[in-house]
Amino acid sequence: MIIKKDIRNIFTFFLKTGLRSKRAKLFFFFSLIPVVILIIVKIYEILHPENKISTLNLFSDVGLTFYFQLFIQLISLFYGSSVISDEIENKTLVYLTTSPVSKSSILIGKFIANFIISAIIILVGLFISYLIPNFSNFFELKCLKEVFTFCGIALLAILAYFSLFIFIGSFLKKSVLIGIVFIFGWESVVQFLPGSAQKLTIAHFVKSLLPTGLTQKGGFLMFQLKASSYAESVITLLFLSLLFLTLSIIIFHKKEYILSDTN
Amino acid sequence: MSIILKAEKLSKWYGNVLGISEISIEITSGIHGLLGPNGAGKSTFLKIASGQLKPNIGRIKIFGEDVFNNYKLFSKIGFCPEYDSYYKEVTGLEFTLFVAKCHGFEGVKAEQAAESALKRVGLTENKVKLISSYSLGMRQKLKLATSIVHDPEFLILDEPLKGIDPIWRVKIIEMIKEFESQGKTIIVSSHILPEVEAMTNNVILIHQGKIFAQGDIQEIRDLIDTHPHKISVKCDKHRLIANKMINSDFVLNLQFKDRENEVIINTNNRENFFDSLMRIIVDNNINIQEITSPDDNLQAVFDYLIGR
Repeated sequence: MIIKKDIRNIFTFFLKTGLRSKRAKLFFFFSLIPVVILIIVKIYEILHPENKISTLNLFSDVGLTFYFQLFIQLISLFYGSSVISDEIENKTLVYLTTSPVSKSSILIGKFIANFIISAIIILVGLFISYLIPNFSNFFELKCLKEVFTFCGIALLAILAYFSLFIFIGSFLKKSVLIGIVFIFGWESVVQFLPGSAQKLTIAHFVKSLLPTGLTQKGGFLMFQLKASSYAESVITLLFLSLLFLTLSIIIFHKKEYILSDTN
Repeated sequence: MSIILKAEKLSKWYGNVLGISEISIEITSGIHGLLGPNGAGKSTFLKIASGQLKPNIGRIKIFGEDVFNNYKLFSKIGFCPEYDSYYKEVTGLEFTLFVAKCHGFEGVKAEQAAESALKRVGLTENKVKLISSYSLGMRQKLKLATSIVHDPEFLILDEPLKGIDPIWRVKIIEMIKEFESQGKTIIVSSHILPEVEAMTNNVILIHQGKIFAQGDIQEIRDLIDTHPHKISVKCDKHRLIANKMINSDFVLNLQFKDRENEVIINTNNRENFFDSLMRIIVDNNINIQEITSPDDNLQAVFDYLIGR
């Protein structure tokens, strides 16, 4: 019970401060880029019905690519790695570690807060992006099912990337730089390698979950390898999340963080 | 008196840089001034004492328990760090309330504890302002408020008066003394000696990672026999005093400042000197203006010890 209360205190504080932060406002602004593009195209589509540009195609080409290929990774990187590294860089870790709260509670509480902030930012943008091309038939079961599937996959993807970046942030100083190399290097390059190498990326399992009907239209998934099954993908993503989170807790517990020049 | 903090052969280094070396110390209740120049190892010692760093060699116990990763111990410890670090997007009250809740206070009790701590350091008026808008002195007061919000038994204060205005310095010194009178243990680190002198005579002098001296400042001074005591006597018959004392064994030399009616006497035995001085004053009915010991202060002791 005490642990739960500690986690709740940490979570509440960091959720409140995180939602107010400039970082959240900036990411929220960026998350709406596809929304703005889709609104413009939707207006054009209404005014020029003879034109071939459609918001539905654009959602799968631009919207999904933006969220699943770029934005989820970036937001997870900045929010995930900041769970520990922000406290070290801002030298505020001392206030947390000199209070009678376990390091596990600190990490879990802050993880949940940052995860929720990231999820809100992503899901709001993704939801509106989906709503624009499907506005007329949004309340049909098929559409509702599809949008909730996208949101579910987005949450799983955030969870997996988030846990990985917390883990990196727990022991490396330049975690953002390493994360960028991982996102734009490893995750992108391995997609094009032959054989089953792409199973060494998180992106493979995230893309395997996306409904193929939509994504084939936009050529979004560029698989050299066949998509993994839904069950395998979900289990792998959950396993990786749990593994990285556990490792982060162990490192955070054992590691000595030196906050400044010593004297 | 029970031992609150016990360090045994504590050593810490950062790569090739030595932080502290083989520090062994026992601290009981009361105020202890931790003194030393910048880079002496004060903060390293306090970081180990507050569980932020692990010693490379040796061990430290507070209330008989190991410190590193022993989070439950911190319900009895308050720590005011040296860094000017803060959460930008929260108010002073929100932050203090958060710390109070981390210490187990809930609801109204948490609010009362936070309000009370902020009041003690004079931040009530500014409690709802964002910390990012605070001055350095206000942020320092906030750190102090968070370190006392749970009424700890043991307070570790690293440069607690940095940036605080003179009026509040006096008030905070009084507050620290009040903690002492309640039987609490306080370690105050500073490189500003008069600040520590205003709080306590009980000091720990640290230099180049080692403890040079520990104890009452007067007692430490008496042990420094390489530097004679300097005593200044101001009165209308200062030359008479000099004349009566010049042949005493314990007087090493004399210096006159006639304009100020002052004689400065260097002695190697304070007790005999003062016995003799008192006799001369009474026997000759001398009106004394002032008797001072210019080098019987912390600064002089510190300078002598570190060889400045």
